[in-house]
Amino acid sequence: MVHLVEVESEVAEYLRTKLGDKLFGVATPKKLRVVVRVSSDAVKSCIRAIQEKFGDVHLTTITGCDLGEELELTYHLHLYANNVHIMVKTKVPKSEPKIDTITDVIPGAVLYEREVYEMLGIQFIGHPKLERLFLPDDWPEGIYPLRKDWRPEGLK
Amino acid sequence: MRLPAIIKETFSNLFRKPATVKVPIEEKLPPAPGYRGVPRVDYSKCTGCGLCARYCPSFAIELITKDKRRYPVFHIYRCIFCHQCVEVCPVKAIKPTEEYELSTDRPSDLIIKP
Amino acid sequence: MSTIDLILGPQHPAFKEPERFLFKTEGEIVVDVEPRLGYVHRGIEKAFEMRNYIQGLYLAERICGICNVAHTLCYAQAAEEVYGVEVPPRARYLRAVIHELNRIHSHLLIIGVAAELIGFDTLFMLIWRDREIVMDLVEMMTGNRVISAYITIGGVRRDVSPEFIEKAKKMLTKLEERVKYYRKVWIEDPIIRARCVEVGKLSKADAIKLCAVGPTARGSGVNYDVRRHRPYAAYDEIPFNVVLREEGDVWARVLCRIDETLEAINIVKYALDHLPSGDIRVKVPIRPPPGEGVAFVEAPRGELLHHVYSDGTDKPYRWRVRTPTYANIPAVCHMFKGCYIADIPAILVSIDPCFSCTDRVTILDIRTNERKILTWTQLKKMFREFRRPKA
Repeated sequence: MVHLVEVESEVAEYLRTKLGDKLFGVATPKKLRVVVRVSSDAVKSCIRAIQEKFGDVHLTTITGCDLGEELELTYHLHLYANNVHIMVKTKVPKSEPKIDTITDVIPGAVLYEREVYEMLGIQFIGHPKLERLFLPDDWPEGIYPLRKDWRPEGLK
Repeated sequence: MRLPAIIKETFSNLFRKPATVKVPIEEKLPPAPGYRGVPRVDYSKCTGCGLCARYCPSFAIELITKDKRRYPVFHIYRCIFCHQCVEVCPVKAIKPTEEYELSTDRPSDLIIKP
Repeated sequence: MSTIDLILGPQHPAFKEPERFLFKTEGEIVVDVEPRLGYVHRGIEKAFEMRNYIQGLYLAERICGICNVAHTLCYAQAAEEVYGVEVPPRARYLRAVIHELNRIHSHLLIIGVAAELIGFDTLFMLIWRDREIVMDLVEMMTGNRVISAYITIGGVRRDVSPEFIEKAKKMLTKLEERVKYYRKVWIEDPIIRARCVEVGKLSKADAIKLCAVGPTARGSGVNYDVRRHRPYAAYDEIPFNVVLREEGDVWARVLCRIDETLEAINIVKYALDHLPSGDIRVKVPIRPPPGEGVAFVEAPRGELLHHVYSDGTDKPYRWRVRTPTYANIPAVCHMFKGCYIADIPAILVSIDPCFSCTDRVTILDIRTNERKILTWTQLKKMFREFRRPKA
């Protein structure tokens, strides 16, 4: 907790050297926070690289957001070693929403990936059991409630 | 063998007064000062700006037009007693009260209108 | 030996909230478990997108009634990051006070329920009686027993008076004595030890791997508490200990909560003694600038996250909430494996479950031995056909 600024730049610098051209940008907007933008095929290698260097990683959640043409995923990671919160951001096109699963790297991601799948319709390739989680069983196929083109009936 | 610590406590409770009171037969418990009860409206002060309706989280305030002026109508059955309307009112026309006994057999009692 | 499916829930006397678990059992031992969430899924994340920031504050409060302060605090912090406002020092201390009072009330509730579910109703009644002390304090401070509506974007809504501080300290001292007594009971009582020790084990490695949070993780020795490791409100100025236990069983997780209650009482007392003077809130406009805000809070059940995307209008573009119980589901499913059926309620309650969960029925046809899962519409149709007189 002493070298606050150095901790963040250490993480940022390490990821810059490790990921190369798969990395679109690193920012440290706030104390103890690093925002990393990567291409969608590099998420798993990014998390692996972080685990190799900093040890155990806690995945808080995966946030999915519909940005119009693209779907943005944010993986919130917490490093037990130096308490840095890393936001790994990536984008997948809405026409072909596919990304590799990270459940083999972090087993705790099982439910979060299922939730993003049912709410936003992103296919996680290699997920052990990609099924509905919260939505009722008679919910129609192909309708994803958290996409912007779906609005609940009967509301203004 | 030692007796578990809970035994003494259990038996001492046999000689204690009950922790509950019989509301409202024997006693009526007053709420703490500043309790959030039903909001009441002073329509003589109200300017009809509509801020309360805009901020109401449970959509309990409806704006009506009467004699060419706008007035808020409060549907208390939807109210969640957060007092956000009390807070945003620019002329302090909405007054907080500590009333909490609201059950009634006439639904019209639960609508505050001019 | 063949396995038998045992379905518990969504309505079951041992579960306080609707949730269905399908246990595969061999005799008395659970070998596998499959949870079904979604029975009270209300679509709150979509509802946030249809309300402005102030209305959303009260919606966030209703995600969970028990830990309502943690949700409003987290909501307000995420919104403040988007608005770019700093909270005045007095408000930061008052936030810590109400947050800890909420933690005391939540922990005492679940310790009582844990006692009830292992068959110790006396302890349950006593703990819930003493919980009224903290409920009264919350009512005096905020104007309601449970739903406090105390924290707002930019600060808090009410100030505390010196009389309140005097009274609160006196009442908390009384509560502290009682909690210390319950701690002694929990450690010494032979019935509790027989039901809870070595039940529902979760090792430290598994807790980290399955991303457990809160007292569930800390009961297994994972040193992670948002209040300490990424401080918010006034926690960077208030001294307190992070409670850790190494055992990783039901007993340790509940004891962890009892110790946290004692810590919380000390935090409230310290914060009330060192309350800075000054304003309690800053006003914010209705429209924030475009941007993104993330906030973490240590809710009574563990780490809570709110993540907001703002597009510059008066309504959030996207609001994401990750509640602590959701994070603990993979961990609790792991704990169930290898336990006895009789221990299921005790293990479930030890993660302090607060379910956010839809309609579904499993029917086992004995004649064909075929398993069907019916939706609500199919079930209604079946019922109508059953009631129709045979021609």
